[in-house]
Amino acid sequence: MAFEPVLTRGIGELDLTDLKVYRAQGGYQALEKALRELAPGDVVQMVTDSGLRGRGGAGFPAGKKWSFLPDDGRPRYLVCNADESEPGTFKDRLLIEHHPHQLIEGIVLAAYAVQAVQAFIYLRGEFLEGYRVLQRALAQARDAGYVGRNILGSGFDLEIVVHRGAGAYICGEETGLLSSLQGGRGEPRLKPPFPAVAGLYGMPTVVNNVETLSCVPHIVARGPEWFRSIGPETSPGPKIFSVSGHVVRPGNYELPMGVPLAELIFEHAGGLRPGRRVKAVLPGGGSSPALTADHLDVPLDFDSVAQAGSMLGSGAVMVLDDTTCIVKAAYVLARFFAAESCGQCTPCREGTSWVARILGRIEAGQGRPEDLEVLKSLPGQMAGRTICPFSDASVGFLSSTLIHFEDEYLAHIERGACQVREVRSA
Amino acid sequence: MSGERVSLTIDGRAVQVPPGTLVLDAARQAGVEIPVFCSHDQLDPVAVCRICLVEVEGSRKLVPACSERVREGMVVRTDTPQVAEARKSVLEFLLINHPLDCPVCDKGGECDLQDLTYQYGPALSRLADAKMRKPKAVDLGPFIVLDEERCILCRRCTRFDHQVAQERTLVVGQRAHEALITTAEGVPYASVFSGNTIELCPVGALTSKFYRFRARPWDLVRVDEICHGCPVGCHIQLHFRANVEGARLERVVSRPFEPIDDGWLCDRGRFNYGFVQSPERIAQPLVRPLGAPRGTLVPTSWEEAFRRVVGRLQEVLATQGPQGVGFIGGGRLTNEEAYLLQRLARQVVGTENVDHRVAGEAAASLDVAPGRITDLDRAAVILVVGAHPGQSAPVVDLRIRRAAARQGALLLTLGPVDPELRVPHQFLPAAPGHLADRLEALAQSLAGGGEGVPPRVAQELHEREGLLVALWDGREAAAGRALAAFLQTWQAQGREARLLVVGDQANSRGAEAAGLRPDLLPGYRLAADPEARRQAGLAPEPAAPGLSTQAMLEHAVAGRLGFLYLVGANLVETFPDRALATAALESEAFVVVQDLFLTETARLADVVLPAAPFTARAGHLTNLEGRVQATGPRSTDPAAGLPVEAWTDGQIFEHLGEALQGRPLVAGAGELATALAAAGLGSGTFAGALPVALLHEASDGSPTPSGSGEGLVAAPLPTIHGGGGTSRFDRAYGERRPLAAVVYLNPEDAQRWGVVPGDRVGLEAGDGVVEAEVQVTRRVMAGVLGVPRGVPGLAWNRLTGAGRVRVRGRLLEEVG
Amino acid sequence: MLKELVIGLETTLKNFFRPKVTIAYPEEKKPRSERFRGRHELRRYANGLEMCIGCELCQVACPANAITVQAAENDPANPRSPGERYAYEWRVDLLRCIFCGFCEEACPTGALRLTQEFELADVTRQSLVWGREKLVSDQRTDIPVPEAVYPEFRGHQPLAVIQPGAQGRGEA
Repeated sequence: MAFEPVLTRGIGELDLTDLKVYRAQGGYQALEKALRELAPGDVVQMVTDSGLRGRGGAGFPAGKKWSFLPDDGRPRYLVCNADESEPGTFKDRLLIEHHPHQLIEGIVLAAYAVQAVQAFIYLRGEFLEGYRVLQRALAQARDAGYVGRNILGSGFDLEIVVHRGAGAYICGEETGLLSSLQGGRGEPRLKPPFPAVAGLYGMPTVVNNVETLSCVPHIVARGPEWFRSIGPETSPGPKIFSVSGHVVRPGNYELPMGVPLAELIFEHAGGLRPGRRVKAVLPGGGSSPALTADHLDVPLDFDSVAQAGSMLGSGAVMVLDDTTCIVKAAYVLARFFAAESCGQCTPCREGTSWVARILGRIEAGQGRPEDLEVLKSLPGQMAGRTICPFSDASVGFLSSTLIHFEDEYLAHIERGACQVREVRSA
Repeated sequence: MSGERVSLTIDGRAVQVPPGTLVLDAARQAGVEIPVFCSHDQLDPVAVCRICLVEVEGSRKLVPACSERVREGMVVRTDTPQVAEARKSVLEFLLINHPLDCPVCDKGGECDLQDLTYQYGPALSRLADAKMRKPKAVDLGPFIVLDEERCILCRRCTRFDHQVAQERTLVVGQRAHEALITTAEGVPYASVFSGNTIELCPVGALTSKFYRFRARPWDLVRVDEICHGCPVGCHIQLHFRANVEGARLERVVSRPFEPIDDGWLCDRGRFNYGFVQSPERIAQPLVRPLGAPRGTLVPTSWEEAFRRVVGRLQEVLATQGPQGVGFIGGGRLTNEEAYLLQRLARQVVGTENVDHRVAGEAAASLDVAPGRITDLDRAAVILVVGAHPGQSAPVVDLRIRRAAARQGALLLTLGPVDPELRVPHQFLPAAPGHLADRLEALAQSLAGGGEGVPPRVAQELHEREGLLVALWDGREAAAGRALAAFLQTWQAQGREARLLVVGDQANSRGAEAAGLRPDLLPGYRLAADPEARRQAGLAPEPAAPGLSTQAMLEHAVAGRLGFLYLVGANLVETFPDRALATAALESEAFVVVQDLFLTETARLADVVLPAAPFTARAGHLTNLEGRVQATGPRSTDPAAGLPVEAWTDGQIFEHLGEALQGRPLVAGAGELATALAAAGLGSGTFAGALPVALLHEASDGSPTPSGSGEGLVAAPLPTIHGGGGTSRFDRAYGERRPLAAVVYLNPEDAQRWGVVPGDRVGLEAGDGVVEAEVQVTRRVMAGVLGVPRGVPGLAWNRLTGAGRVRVRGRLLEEVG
Repeated sequence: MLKELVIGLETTLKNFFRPKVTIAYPEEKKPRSERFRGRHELRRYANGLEMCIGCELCQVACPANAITVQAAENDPANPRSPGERYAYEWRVDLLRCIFCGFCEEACPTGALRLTQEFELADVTRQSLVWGREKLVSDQRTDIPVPEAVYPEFRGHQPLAVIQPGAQGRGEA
């Protein structure tokens, strides 16, 4: 059975940013159904049953997250994490700019399910177009009574505020995002307490990714069983993969979870340029450890990719062919992380910049034999020792390539030059 | 609840702690040391430095001990290779960009980073690249130099500023490895509490400008002291260094004492110490040559000075009797010295004319619901009457901020000028002289009435259960009585109440308890009580009722008081009626002044006796809550390197007593201690308090203009960095905290008098014009002129001394 | 008897033509070993700045309590040493000094050297307390200032210099 796109259906053909078009496609029917027929708990149950796992990177079951909120009478908040800044990821941008009503419907449904009093969309600051689209869509939805006071006569109120970030990668981390949204520095907080208990302004808060929330209307409309039927048992549902790098047709591809890596690269993304071979693949954006050509049969779902030694993350598949200098790639990523660390925890603040300095030197042909020893020890000194997983993420690519491509680092150090030049000129 | 305990094991040692305890504290209790940088007892955990990582059984990753709470059955290990590796690793990271300029750094020798690196760190650096460069020697604020390179970003300083001081000036700027400490908007970090960040800093990033390169920790001789700056009585430690310039007091640090200071000090207490070794100190006794005009003083010997004092005193006693002699002692005297001074007056001279109130205050304590500083921690309502705790008792203000901002206490202020409190509060304006009316209305509101009390306040006061803590400045006697009545009404409703009197001088309360008041003998026994007099060895009937400070000055002007003895009392600057003080000093009376500096008052004296600073004496001080605390041990007079021949105040009194009566004033230290213990001033005890009945209008030295004529009523405001003595003669300190001659006006009044902020105006009072710059603020109620006390060049007491103040427009030279 | 005289003279004559073992001090001076420890000297860098920064480590290392150091902040317009700090006073009591060389060993900048000079007799105790005016060498060494350790001290920087915008972000 051919897979029918769910989240991206109609994008490119219809102007789904228009409320009328969206409604003509069956939009807001799930919301109407939920507000008329379902209790908030039923919606939570449906999402739990569907097996939907967070699409932001961690893959935490969404229904479970919602059920953690303590029932103590304090106001609750829902925050949509639209601060899409993982290198290689551009799926949320697509959904925001081309399918805003799907997201809004998902937010209202989720807010209804957890009985939130207010929702926020924390939007990446650079998404100016997305901001305009969202504001327009929100205005339409408000006029049509899908957002605001007494939604569809149900007595449920919800206002959605779009907040633009100021460009920090770390604000994609949920507690960093909440600190930023409150007006503080975008710095992750200690957990526990988790946002479900003490989140925005210290109140119970749910933070979900754009893609996760966009799945909710479909789950409510078509039922959890339908959702479960797509993809593997443990991570069901459709997933948008952002494919970039050395492929013929980079772009967003919506496929069932669990699609094999090779199928995504060669069938959907058009394969590599003629005569090139896959050297490394980052299955989950810049912070995921690299897979090699030996891993092409890995099914792209949370558990299988983790088993292969990497992580699916947000599903940003970056393909590097044999013209890529691994050391340079590592250096480029290391510079990114060195600039984006929030600077709270010692290992991350100092480690990321140290890694970048060493890699920069090696890449420039000034490596020393001792550098490799230091590089090998630093990931262990940094990972798992900080408040948030940024530190771990920053060394993912480095530590994996130190295993798979140690010879390239060695060549740089010993010969002071890059090995792949020969490949490139061939 | 309090009995509940959680059991856990740390490095194999079983320990039981209350639930919610941090693993770090539990380990400390078990005798296991866990290194920390960012963690601090008084600050919320952030777990950013990561040096405290420990192993917890069942946890995949290492866990920060400074933020992890204990759980039943928890098994913690700090002695594993993994933990040792983590510590070493964190230190390696901290050191890669640290300049390692320990030989230059002031912190060298007492640096946590240095110590922990020795203990846990790597011996060699693996860094092959250049270190990160950041700004050095940054001028952070009046007292602080910041070295960004040394900073390890533990954030203790910013957290102190946010959580304890509630000010939010210091922030972390930039991010990642470029992160650094700065202030919001780049303004100087001028908090009154800025110095605490120096002590909090675990490295040498924040250092004191005064202590900069002055000494090494191992050079210092450390002496425990009580701060003499204000009546809070914070515990401090003096650090002396004997160097090429002689013994010098190089810095003051805190000595954490939870019931008073929680380890915090204000900048006045921490940095205003240079006066003790000021070259401006009076080096030897001075006398006015016979026949020379007032203001002429020539050096002389102690023998000659005493001969003059004793000779003249006996003359006056012969001509005017004991009533012609008066003694006024400022609140800087210790309990012992205050006792000796009143004994000298009462027993040797035979006069009742003694007083300690030099700034127009009515009382230093009140025996209604006596409170403790720690009561503020559990207060539901805090009522500030006339007081400006941020200026006159700063460390108490920190507790007020915490109670209001973090514990939800309702904070009300009542008076002519709303004190700067940094935390949300409700201001109830009350004109000078009318605080009592407002308090009576407040008391009525407790019973449902209360005209003029905002309904929201009345409702809150009605609903709040629990403790009310009132702070009173001790100035208006009527306000004191009304406050007492208010507190009794509150208590009558079954709620707890406490009162703290926030006085003016460091030891007013001790002086009061020691009997340095015309109506009181030591121990708050009435001076008119024959039985008490008999026990004190005095005649059953005083020859004449004693005179208060104001009365003494008036008598001197009238020629009925021929001998005035002032100790640490710069009346020209501190007495609310400058004209009266000056007239008294310029009268025919023979004036003896005992002080460290040639103050405005000392300049007019007949004899000036140089007194030694607090560092040279031992004794006891009584703080605003009545706590009797030992000061000293007697250390040294740091001016010993200068040609200064100073005696302590007590030594001078004893010498004078012996010269007058031919035998010692007290038989020995034993007798003195017994006498003070009998007066309720035993070491470590709490002093008694003033009976409400003794709050006399007559003793209320602040004359209040009556009627509603045109003009403003001046309301004096305490100024933390100002004053009549120590701050004025501490040049370095004064330069760092310059005091501007500024007065405060309500916007309405500013409009009426046609002035705008920044204008220099002439203020017309009884005797001429005082010049000042105007600032406009809603903190001042309409009809009131806020005048800071103790600012050089701003004679506040010419404005409070007489009638209403008229603002004489802008001065011409400022128009251009 | 004559024989004894001859024997004696023979000894005298033998020694008369032997090389001398005494030296004509003070015209001549006995050679000292390279590691001889005489009086102290505070050296200068190649650019003429003093090497001593007044860290007081020599003072604390001194077992005889002979050294007193007092540091002060450099005047950026007229620095005595590189960096922020210099020795405002550096004083040694040569009568107390036991010439153990611990001070030299403790010196983190290599400023302090014990020279070969040992002729330190004088007539008063006070004249043997030497201060920095006698101890700071007037010769330059060829050692350059370690710029990485002592960035140029330009005085106290206003806080505004570290405000975002006032200074570009550095290279990551």
